[in-house]
Amino acid sequence: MDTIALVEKALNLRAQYHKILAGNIANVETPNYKEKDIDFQKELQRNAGSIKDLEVKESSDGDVIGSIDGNTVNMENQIMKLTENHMLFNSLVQVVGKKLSMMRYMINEGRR
Amino acid sequence: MGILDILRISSSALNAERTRMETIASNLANIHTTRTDEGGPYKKKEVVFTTTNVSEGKGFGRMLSERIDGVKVEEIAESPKAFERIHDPGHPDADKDGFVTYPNVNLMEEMTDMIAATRAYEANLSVVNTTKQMFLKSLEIGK
Amino acid sequence: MKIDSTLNLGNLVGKSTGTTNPKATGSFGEVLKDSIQKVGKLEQDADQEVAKLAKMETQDIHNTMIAIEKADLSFQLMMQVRNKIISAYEEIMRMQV
Repeated sequence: MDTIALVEKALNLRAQYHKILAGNIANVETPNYKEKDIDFQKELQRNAGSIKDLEVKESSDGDVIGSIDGNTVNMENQIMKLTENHMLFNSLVQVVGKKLSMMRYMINEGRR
Repeated sequence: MGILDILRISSSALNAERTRMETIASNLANIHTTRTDEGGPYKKKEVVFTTTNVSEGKGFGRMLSERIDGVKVEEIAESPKAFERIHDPGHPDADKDGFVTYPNVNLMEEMTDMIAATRAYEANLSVVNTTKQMFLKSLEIGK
Repeated sequence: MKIDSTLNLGNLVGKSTGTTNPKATGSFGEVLKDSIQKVGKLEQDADQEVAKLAKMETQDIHNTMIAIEKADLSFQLMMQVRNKIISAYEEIMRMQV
């Protein structure tokens, strides 16, 4: 049971992260826009009451100077993070679906 | 090394190739620039690639010796190639012999470099896409 | 939930082997209990793999999927075996003495 709660939390987190990444990509040309990022491990450990209290910090990739207009969004990195997030989100959905269908089977078959 | 590290490697390559394109663009834009802030004509810029470790700093039980080799731009160097000198006494930047020193940028070379950079960029993009497909396919185990 | 179902099956095994075949009581019952424990362990393994995936401690999704499939299939097999045992038990109970 605990596993499903953990997966649920991870799924919520990834859905939020997707929105943050989409925001970054949308603002790839905005002057003075700083890339936003979240720290996954930390967010998972936190027993956050609501998903809204995510700690969104501006990206601190060491040597990011940004372009002349102050924008620090690195397009390729964002695409890579988006892909990674998408893949893990899909896999967590699959996994939790499989677990729930196993439980449904247990419930149905135990009828006899 | 897992499947997500492949994405990191590819994205480092994409970054590097994009930097290369930027230098090519800068070279092509300045192909006729005879006057720069340091005096003298524009010097062609070249990128120097080197391998770098792109693995994530926080190891969840990863061996410390494990290196994941991505690529990075070590420096953007100025090419030591010789400048072109054209005889044009009427030019404002002509020296005492009437020669104007043009940048050492060769149009053909830059165009070829540009094509090479584009192909490398596309190749890395297809690595990313293929990796993603592989991952999503393996989700269908047992379906 | 899964601990409950395991316990129920354990009781059932005790009852059926006691009444059906006195000679093979020890071995058959024990073999069954052992198998049930193995199925339980497979499920725990699958759970751990899923937790590792959620916490991003592993990148190999195929291991996780395979572990889940193993748990699923072994559980389904166990259920079918249990159905067979029950119907065998009922048939024997129907025998006129």
